[in-house]
Amino acid sequence: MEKDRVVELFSETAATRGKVTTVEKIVAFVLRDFKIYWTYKFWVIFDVIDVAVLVATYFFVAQIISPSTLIAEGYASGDYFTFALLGIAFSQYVQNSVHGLTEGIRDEQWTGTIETILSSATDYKAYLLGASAFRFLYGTIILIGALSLGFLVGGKVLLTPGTLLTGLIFAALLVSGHLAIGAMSAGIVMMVKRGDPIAWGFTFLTQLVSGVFYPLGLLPWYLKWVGFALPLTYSLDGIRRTFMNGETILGTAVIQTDLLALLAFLLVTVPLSLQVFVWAYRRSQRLGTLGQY
Amino acid sequence: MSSDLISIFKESVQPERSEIRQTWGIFWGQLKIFLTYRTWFVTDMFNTIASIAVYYFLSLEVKPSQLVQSGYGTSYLAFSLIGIAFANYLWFCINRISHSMQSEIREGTFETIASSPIKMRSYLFGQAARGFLVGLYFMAGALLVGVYGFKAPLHFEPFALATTILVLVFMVLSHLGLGIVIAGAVLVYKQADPITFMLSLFMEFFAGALFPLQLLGQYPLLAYASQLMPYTYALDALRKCLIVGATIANPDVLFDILVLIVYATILLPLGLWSFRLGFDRIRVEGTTSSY
Repeated sequence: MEKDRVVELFSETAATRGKVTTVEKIVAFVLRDFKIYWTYKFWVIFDVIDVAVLVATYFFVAQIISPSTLIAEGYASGDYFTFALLGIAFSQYVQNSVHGLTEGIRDEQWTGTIETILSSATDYKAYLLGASAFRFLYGTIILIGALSLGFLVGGKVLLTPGTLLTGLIFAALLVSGHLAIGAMSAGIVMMVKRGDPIAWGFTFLTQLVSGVFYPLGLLPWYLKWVGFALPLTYSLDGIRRTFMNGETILGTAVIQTDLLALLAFLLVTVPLSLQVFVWAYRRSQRLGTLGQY
Repeated sequence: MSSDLISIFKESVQPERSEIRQTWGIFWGQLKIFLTYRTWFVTDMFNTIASIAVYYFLSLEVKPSQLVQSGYGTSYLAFSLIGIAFANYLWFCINRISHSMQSEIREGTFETIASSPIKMRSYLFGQAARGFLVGLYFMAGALLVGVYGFKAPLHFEPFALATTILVLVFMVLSHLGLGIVIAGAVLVYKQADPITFMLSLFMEFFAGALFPLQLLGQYPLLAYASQLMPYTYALDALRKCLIVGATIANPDVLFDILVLIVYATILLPLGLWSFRLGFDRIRVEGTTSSY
C-alpha cells in the first residue's frame, strides 16, 4: 500500500464553499435518503402493491356496509369506500412519516452517523427537517397513488378550487401536527434507544378512536373524548367533509371547528415537541451517548 | 485457572442424536429468548385488543343480509375476527422460521448450528414449534377477547371445537412447507421480509379475511386466484365450525380438510427439498455466515 499517497489524500484540504444554507442541507438529506431507498427497489414495488391490495380490500368491504350511519354523521354521500379510502390513506401517510423519523434516528444510531452529522455545522432543527423530508415526500407520492387508484375504481370526491384549497390546508396542518409528534418520538428514541412508545401509542390510539374506519358517532362517549385529543380526528373529519360534501373553510361551523382545533393542537405540540427533542438531544450529548445503540 | 478451564473444555459431551430431543432443545432455547421480550409481549396484546375493537365498531355498520348470503351467520365481528386472528397466527408461524433464520445468520450463530450434529430438519421444526406455540397464545387470546369482551357469537361446542383443532393442524401443515421454502431462500439471498410480506398480503386478500368471497364473483380472475390459496379452504372450514357450529361431518368442511391435506402433502416435502438445496449451496459457496 502506498502509505505516502494515502497521507497525501487525507491531507488535502477540501474546498470550502462558504455557508451552506438550511434549505441546501435539507435538499442534501432528501437526496441522500432517496439514494439509500433506491437501493431497495423491491420495497418500492411492495409499497405500491400494498396500497393496491388495501384499496381493493376496502372496495369489497364497502359493498357490505350500510350508508345510513355515515349519512347520520354528516357525510352526505354515505359512500363508505370513499370514507375508508380517505381515512386509511391519510392515516397511513402520517403513521409512516412518524415511524419513519424515529426509524431513521435508530438507523443513524446503528450505523454511527448521527454523531457525525450532529457534531458538524448542522443544527438539530435542520437535521429534524432533513431527516423527515424524504419520508414525507415519499409518503405524499404513495398517498396520491392510493387516492388516484381509489378514484379509478369508484371513489367519489367533489373537486372544486374551494375544496382543493381547503383539502390542502387540512393536509398541511395534518403534516405539521405529526411532524411535531415525530420529533417528540425521535427525542425519546434517541434517549431510550429501544422501542418507540410515542409512535406506538399514537398508532394504537388513532386506529381505534380517530375515525379511520368508522365515524366517531359509533364510539362510546369516553373513547370519543380520547379521539378529540388527537389531531388526526379533526384532520380526517375536515378532509372528508371537504371532499365528500364539498364543504370549504368558509362554509360550515363544523369544518371551522376542525380547523381551529388543529391550530390549537399545533400551538401546544410544536414548542412542546421541540423542547422534548432538544432536552433529549442535550442529555445524550452531555452523557456522550449520542452514538450508542 | 487455565488448567481448570482446560479440564472443563476437555470434557467429552455426548452429542444428542435423537431428533425429538434436538427439536425440543431448539424450541426451548427459542422460547426462553422470546420470554425476555416483555415489552413487545405487552404492546402486542394491546394491539390485538385494539384491532378487535376496530372490527367491533366496523361491524356496527355492516348490513347482516350480505353476510347471511355467504353462509357465515349475521355477525361481521365473528366473521372478521376469525379471518384476522387465524391469518395473524399463520403469518406468525410462516414468518417465524425465516425471520429467526435471518437473525441467526446476522448474529453469526447459524454457522455454529449448521456445523453441529443438529439435523436441519430438527432445527426447522424446533423453530416452527416455538412460532406455533406463541402464535397460538395470541390467537386464543384474540378469540377469547372477541367472545367475552365484545360478544362475538362463536360456537365452542365439543365437536365443532375438535374439528376446528383438526382444521388448524392441517392449515399449519399445508403452510409450513411455504415457510420452509422461504427459509431456504433466506439462506441464499439473506432477505425474507419482502417475500413473507407479499405472501401474507395476498393470502388475506384472496382468502377473504375481511369480506365474503362471493363478492369476487364479478371478477373471475380474482375468484380463480382465491381458489388457489390454501388459506381460503382453511378459513371457510374455520368459519363454518366456529360461526355455524359445523363439524367434520359437514361435506363442505370435509372437502376443505381434504384440500388442505393435498396441499400439505405437496408443499411440505417440496419445502424440505428446496431448503436442502439452499443449505447445500451456501455450504459449497462458504457463505453460511455472510449476510
